[in-house]
Order: sequence, then C-alpha cells, then structure tokens
Amino acid sequence: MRRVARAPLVHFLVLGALLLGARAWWEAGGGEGRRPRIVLTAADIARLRGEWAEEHGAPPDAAAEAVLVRRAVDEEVLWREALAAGIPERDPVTRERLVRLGEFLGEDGERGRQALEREARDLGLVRSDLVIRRHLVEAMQLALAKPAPADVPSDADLEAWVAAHAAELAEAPSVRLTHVYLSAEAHGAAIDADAARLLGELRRNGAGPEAADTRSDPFLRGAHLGPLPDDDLDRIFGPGFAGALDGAPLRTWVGPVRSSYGLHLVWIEERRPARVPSLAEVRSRAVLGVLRERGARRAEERMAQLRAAYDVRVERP
Amino acid sequence: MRWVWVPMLVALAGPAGGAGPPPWARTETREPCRSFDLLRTPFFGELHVHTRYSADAYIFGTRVLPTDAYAFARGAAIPFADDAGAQTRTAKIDRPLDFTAVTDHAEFFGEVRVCDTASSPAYDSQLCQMLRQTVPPDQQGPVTVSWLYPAGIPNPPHLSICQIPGVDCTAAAVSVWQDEQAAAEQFYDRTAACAFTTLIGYEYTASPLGKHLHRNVIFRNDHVPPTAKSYIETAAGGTPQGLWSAVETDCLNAGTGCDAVIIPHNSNLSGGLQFFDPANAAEAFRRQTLEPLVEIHQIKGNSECRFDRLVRAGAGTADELCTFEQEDVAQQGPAGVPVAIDKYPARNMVRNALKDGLGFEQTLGANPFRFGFVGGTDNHDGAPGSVAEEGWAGGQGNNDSSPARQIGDQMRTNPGGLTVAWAEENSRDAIFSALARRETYATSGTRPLVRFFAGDLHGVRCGSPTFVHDAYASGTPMGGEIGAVRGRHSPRFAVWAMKDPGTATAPGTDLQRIQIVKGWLDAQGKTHEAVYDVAGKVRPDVGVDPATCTPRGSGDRELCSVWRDPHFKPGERAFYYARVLEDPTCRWSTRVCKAAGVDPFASDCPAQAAHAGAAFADCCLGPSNDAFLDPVIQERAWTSPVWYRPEAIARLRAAVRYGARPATDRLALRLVLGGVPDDLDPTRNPLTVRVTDDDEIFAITFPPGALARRGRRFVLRQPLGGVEAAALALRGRRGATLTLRTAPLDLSHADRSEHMVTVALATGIFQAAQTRLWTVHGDRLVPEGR
Repeated sequence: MRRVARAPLVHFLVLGALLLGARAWWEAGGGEGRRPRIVLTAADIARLRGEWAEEHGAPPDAAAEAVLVRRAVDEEVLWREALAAGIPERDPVTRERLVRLGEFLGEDGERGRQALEREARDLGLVRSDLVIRRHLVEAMQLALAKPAPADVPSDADLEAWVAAHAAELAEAPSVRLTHVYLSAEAHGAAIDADAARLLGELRRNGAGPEAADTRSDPFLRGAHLGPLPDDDLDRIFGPGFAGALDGAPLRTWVGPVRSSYGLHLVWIEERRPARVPSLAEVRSRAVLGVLRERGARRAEERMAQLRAAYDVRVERP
Repeated sequence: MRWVWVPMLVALAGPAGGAGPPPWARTETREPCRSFDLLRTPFFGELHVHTRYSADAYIFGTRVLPTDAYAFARGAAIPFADDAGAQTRTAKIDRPLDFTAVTDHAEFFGEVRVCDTASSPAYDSQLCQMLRQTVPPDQQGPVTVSWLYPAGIPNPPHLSICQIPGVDCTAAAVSVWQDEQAAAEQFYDRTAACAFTTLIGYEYTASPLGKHLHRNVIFRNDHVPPTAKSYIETAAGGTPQGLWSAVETDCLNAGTGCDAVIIPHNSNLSGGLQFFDPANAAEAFRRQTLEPLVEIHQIKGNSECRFDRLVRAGAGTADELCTFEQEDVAQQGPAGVPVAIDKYPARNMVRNALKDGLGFEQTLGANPFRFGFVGGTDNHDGAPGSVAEEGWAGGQGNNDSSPARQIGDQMRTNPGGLTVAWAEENSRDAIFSALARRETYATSGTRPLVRFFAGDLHGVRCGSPTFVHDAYASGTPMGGEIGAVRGRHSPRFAVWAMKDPGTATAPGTDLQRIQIVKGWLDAQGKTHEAVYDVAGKVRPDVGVDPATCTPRGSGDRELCSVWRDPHFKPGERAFYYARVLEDPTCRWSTRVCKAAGVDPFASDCPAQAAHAGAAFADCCLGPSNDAFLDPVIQERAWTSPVWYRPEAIARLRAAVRYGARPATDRLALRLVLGGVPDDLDPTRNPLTVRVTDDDEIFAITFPPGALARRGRRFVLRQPLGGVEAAALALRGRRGATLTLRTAPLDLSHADRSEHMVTVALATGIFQAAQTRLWTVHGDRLVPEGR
C-alpha cells in the first residue's frame, strides 16, 4: 500500500480530483464578483528577460517573450489554484520538503516530523519556498493533462489517428532486385557497347536473375539485393540510381543504369509500395498517441478556464 | 516451363529463403528482418555521441535529447547552439545512418537532471545556475572545472549539489538512464523493415589529471544494468578496473541476458595511460575478453599512428601517412601542451599498442590489446554521423559554432569518423555480434566499402563471382585469427575495396591505394612494423584544384588484391590490417577558410588572414610550417586486424554426420594447433571444445586427468559426455593435434544447410577458434574450404 501511495501517477490522480473540487467551489460562487488579480510587473518582465538572456546568450524576441509572459501567468494561476485547493496539506512531496526545511531551520533535531512540518508551515514556507511552488505547478500541469474517461479512444478514433499520422507511420517503398554489373574499370571505353550487347543477350535467352551469378562483374555488396527502401539504392549505387528505375517493369532485364561504379542491368523481382501499417500492427502506439493528443487538448482547455477566472494585468517595462 | 522454375530459383537465391542461421543467438523479441544475408552486408553507424545529458555538452549549450540524436541519425534536422548559446542553428545529416548508440557521460547523469528540473531543491544552487547559463568558450573554464573536476581525480565524489536536502542524485541518474533506454527503444525499428538499430550505451569518463581512460560501454539488447556505473561509482585508484568489474558483475555474470562490449577511445589524449601494462596474465585475458574494439578515429584526433613531418620522425613509426588529423597535445588538463615527437608517449597510438600486445601475448599467454577498429564522432551536439567535410557544422556546441571559433580555437579537430559493421541484418543481435567478433572497420567519415580476409584462401581470386563466399569458406574475415594455415608459407590476404558512391552534392572520391599494415614480434621479443602497398598507386597528377577544391585526375573505383607476406615467418606472431586510402580532397578547414576569404593555398595567405581577422591565422598552417596540418587530406578506412598466432588453429577437419534415426548423429574432428601453448596441459587444466552456430551443437570439457598419457599421446580413458574417443598429441614446436569422435548423439542443433560454424578450444587462458562456412554433402555437414 505504501508503494502505491508513493507512485507519482497516484499523486496526479489525487491532485486532479482536488483540482476539480476547487473548480466546483469556484463555480458555485465562492469567488463571484471580484476576479482575483494577477499582476506581472515591469520588474517581473525584466527578470524573465534577464533569465532568458542568461541561458540563451541573447534577449528573447517578441514571440519568445510572449511565451515567457504567458508561462509566468499560467504558473501563477496554477500555483494559486493548488493553494486554494489545499493540495500542500495533503501532497506527500510538499510535506517531505517541509520536513526537510524544518530540519534545516530548527535547532532541536529531536522533534518529530509533524512538528518540523508545522514549524515550516508556520513560517509560511508553503508559499515562499520556490521548490514547493515549482513542484505544485508541475503537478498541476500533469493533472490538467490527464485524459478524461471520455477520452479513451474507440477503434474508429484509432483508425483516424493512424490515417492522420500515415506519413510518419508509413513504411517506405522498397524493392528487391538483382543486377548484372559492368565495371567501368574492367570495360573501359567499351562499356556502353558491352552493356547493350549483354542486355540483348539476356533478353534474347530469356535469362532470369540467376544469370547475374555468372554474367556480372563481381560487386562487393553482391548481385541480389533487398528488399531495401528506394532511398537505400542511392546510398549503395550513388545518386540517381533509384530514380532511373522509377516505373521500370518487373521481372525483366532493364537498363543499363549508371552508378558511381559503372553500368548495371537490373532485374526487379518485387516492389513493395509505400504502405501504412494496419491498426493491429501499431495499436499500442495509436492508443498512446490519441491519449497524448487529447490530454494536451484537455490541458489547454482547462488552463484557459482557470486563466479566465483571473484578472491578469501585464505591465510592460 | 521456364516461367515456372525461374521464380522458384529466385525464392531459393533470395534472402532468408534456404539460408542457414547466423552464427549468433537471437536474444530479442522482434520481427525477423525481411533482408538477411548470410555473407553479410556493410551497415554504417556510429557509437559515440553526446546530448544534453552529458554535463560538458550542456555547458557547450547543447540542449537536444537522445531522441533528437536518433532522429538526426535518421535524417531529421535538429537545433545547435550558436556563438551566443542560442539554439538558432540547425543541421541535418547528408546520409542517414543504419545504427547509432547515444553515449552520454554517465558521471553526472544525476547532477544534470537535478539542475535541469525546476522543482529540484538544487535548481537554484550556484552550480546549477552555472550549468544552465551558456557562456562563450573562453569563459567556460570556471564552470568546466567546477563541474568536471571529479573525472580528473583519483577517488571522485559526486558534486556538492547532491548533498542538498531533498536532492537524490542517485534516483535522478537512474531516471536519465531510463530516458536513454526509452529513447533507444523509441527509435529501434523492430518491424521486419529493420531500417534502423539503436544500441543502448554510455560513456565512462575517467581522466586522471587529464589523461583519458575514456571508454564506451555498448549493450547488446535491452537487458541492461539498472544503473550506468560511471567513474564515480567505480573509481579504482584512477584505473578502469572498477568499470571492468561493474560490467562483469552487473551485466556479463548477472544472469539477466545482458551482454556488452567496452570500447576505449581517445588514446591519443591519454598521456600514454590508456593502454597501460596488464598486471598479470589474468588481467591480460580479462581485457582481451572485455575490450574487443578501440575507437581509432574521432573529432578529437586520430589514434592510429603519428608522424611529425617537420622533424621527419614518428612515434614508433616511419609511416609518413601518419600525419593524418593529429592533435598537437598528448593529453588534456594542465599538462596538455604540445609535445615533441621524441617525447610523445608511443602507446597513445593504437598501432603501437597492437604491437606491444603481441609481446604481452608472448610472455603472458593473452593479448590485452587485441582491438578491432571502430570510428565515431564524439560529437557533443547530439549529431551522430555528422561527418561531411563540406559544410561541417562543428561538433562541440558553442565551442565551434562559427568559422572564427572553428579555425581560431578548434583547428586540429575534424568531423570524425564512422563505424562499419559487416552483419547479416540490421538488428541489435546482428550488429552487436559483428562488434563482438570485430568484423568492423573504421572510416575517417567517408563511406568506402572494404572486405578483408586472411587464411588459406585457396582459390580466392579478385574478379571471381564467388570471392566472398570462398573467402568465408577458407579464411577468417577482419577481426579474426589464423594459425599456420599454409605451414611455413605465408597465409593469403584478400582485400577488396570499392569507392564511396557519394551523394548528389558530394560525389564519392576515387580510391588511391590499399595498404596492408603489418606489426610483428621477432624471436628476440622486439616489435616491428611494415606497410605494404598491395593495390592501386600514387598518381602524381591526381589531386585537387586549389581554386575550387574539385578533384583533378582520377583514381580507381575499385581495387582488389590477394597478397602474401614476403617476410612471413611461421614462428613470429603478427597482426595485419588493411588501410584504404582515397584520393586527396580539401580538408574541412580549407573550405571554411576559403569561405572566409583566406586561401590556404595562396602565397599571400598570411596577408589574407590578417585581413579576415586574428581567428583565421591558422588557415595558413600546412606542410611547410606544421608537423601535421595540411589543407589537403586523404580520407581513409582501417579494417580490424587479423592476428596471426603461431599456436592458433592451423588445420581443421570435421564432420557432423546426421544419423538415419533421431539421436544417432555423430561429430568427428581433427584439429591441429601450430604450437603448444603453456596452458595446454591436460593433466593440469580442463580442456573445452565447443562447436557452435546460433546454438551450441556440441561441447565437451575434459577435466584434468581425463586425458591420460599413453606413449606420446594423451588418450581418453573412458567415454565422457558423449565423446567415444579422444586423443591429444603434443609435439613441441611441431604443434598439437586433437582428435575427437562422439558416440551417436542428438546433434540436430546443427542446421542442415550452408552456414557459419565455429570450433573453439579453450584451456586455462588459452583460446583458439575458427569460424568457417560449412556445407551439407549428403548426410554430412562439413567445412567447405581448406
């Protein structure tokens, strides 16, 4: 049970419940009339700019600054919401931190954990300790992004996700081929004539791909290749090789195709078109993908709701 | 009828159809690869790159994650730090890689994580703030010292931030290690397409007083230890002994299915320490087992060999091609100042370590420096395989983020190299097994192809369509060992190279020549080396156009040779590796300098440099005024060596005869060693013989005394473990012969198809093994070649 209670996910679920409780209180009119005000002072903005410049080596541009300001406001909102919901009273990480702070401050090391925690609370450290603040903000952010029961995807949702991510899931088109290689080194100036003659011969005799085993100059990577993605053909033979085979017919000798090494007569045994795997093949990825997207959307919606409950003023320096 | 049999033939010739198993076990749950080649394919990759989880990379302004590094290897653009430390630059690789291992420094995994997590109590500490702010390179001294000093002292602590109440650096380090694993899993292609392999790994970064003992630990699969043990957890008085123990305890002997190799690197910056003498035979054996590879080339310099052209002398060599991409210092840290060649620690260079390894094997019975070769970048910006000389984006964050910093501060770095693994398929088991058996070569960044075999190689000819097949049947590939396979006569060495096919924007450079580098130990215990040109030649008219850097003249698209060593002596242990040289091209710095208006080839280069700014003065360094730098380089590849061991397996005759009924198969073998190693004493040491493919076909251990003296031989007194008859003849300088015949047994693990089979003999610390293609003749499975 102790193990369960310490698992981070459980914390977030608890926080999520608390948060919803806080909203209920709010919407029931607890804060009616006077929206609490959040003021980002000129000094705050200057500090944000300074921190950014220190870490990035240059001041933020307008877009970056807008993100900084918004993030600062959101953090303030989340922190206040966490306090309002009484999360620091229950959250084990916050309590542990308070105990540590109490130990650090106190002179008498003999007192119990509760006394240490109380002392730290009495000193207002829940509100003033930056570490607690950041932890609460992070925990709230995770709680906001928790998918709702309604977000669990149906098969139709998953199919749609796979369709929407087809490009990223797709297997590249691939090819399996055999080639008869004419080495530029070995054939010299006669290479074009030799290639034409050999191609005619292979076609006339109805030779299959096995002919490469006796008719090809030796090619270091072998005569039978693949299945390989089309892109890999260029990596093996040099630029333009895959393009030269575009639309070439299957199971007959085509070419000659020029490579970085010489000429090649090519027998394409099989082409696999680009294909999107079926849902069954990528199901767990799809479930995670949908939940992540929906969680992010929930987080945005919930954040917008929370933000709307505050009167935010930003004073530009 | 023709249309019927043609497709059938194709099905037989095609991958996987009819092919036997690979010579390694499958340890993973995954789809089988659609593309499988028993005779192996070259896969290009790299095993050395850092991301923000490495404290030094973070200091250099790098903010990308392991997932970004893998994405980069696959072709995605990722952000780099600029001179100001902002992430405004981007770059992408010219050609995707087939495999990659992200190897962040494990020393500060925890510290980086607690400083990078806003809710950590350490977040606002001075150390964390120092880490997060990116300062220009000339101001990085304080943060580098404050952060990295533990790597340089004998028994290092974790940083002080780990003492802050509520900070748990151990747990934080575990979370980073889990991220590394998750990133590798995310990008590992477990589908049948087998498009990309990730290997889980990390770097161990002991640098006592700036002398690099750095090593990468690369794991076979996802059965990895729960923590990545760094120098801080394993410090053993400034030696890697602690790492070796940790890998043995947490991985190799853990019984979890874990397997790993350890790869030393940057011996060129080790102040002579990287390849320190083994204390005894046991340590030599341990190192031979744990460290099968060395990284011979990377951005912080080449470690093959070293030659100073101004004084015309080398560190243990007269090889003038060893001016290539040398750092001027012999170590880092306060003592890292340029060193004269006669004071330079010779064993900083791998070739010298390989030579000394022969001496240790002679005296101790095991070779602690039996290294195959890999190449890498060691990039600290999450960009594996970013090795193109043209438009090189640098590799160390804001340390080389602009032309001025590249030339002014980092002139002696280079874009680093690649590792090529000859493997049956692109999966973790296949790539790792290639690494473990050293069937790898390193390149200085380009992608030439090279095959290298040694052995009897009877009938292996350049131009033969069955070159590779015959070579696997009658010889060992790069990384292996041979005995006196042709008696007093030199073994044959077959080497075949094809040029880098290039890309649309950067055509591959022609080959100039292939060399075979030999190191050996003479009867007096003295080491020697020689470099032989075995194919191709230097054509004086071939070079670069100094105005445009385009090639002038042409070399060869492919080169091949079957060579015999004219100075072979059967009693002298030796190693042989192939070095493939491309035609000259412009160095990265030449291109950067020219773009800045400074032409390294121009007679008024200094004047141009003065105009361009002080940072560009080094543009004018070259053959006339620098020991190593040259505006023109020759990119190259180095194959793993093959070792000639006089006492290794000289000849092997063997057969598995399949019985007509189950469990009536038999194995017979006759194995000749070229010498009698000290540990081969059946009255004193157990003697093990193993025959394996992807499974164990048969194994027997004769305990001491099981083979009893009878006349001049040792004979098995009574049947043992399925062996009906066995005899061992020790004939002193004429070697040893072991014959063995089993009773009828179940040997059905021996697949009935052409495939690789290994016969290995081990006794004490002596080991000898031979892997060859075996084939089916009627009811027998036998080695194909001599």
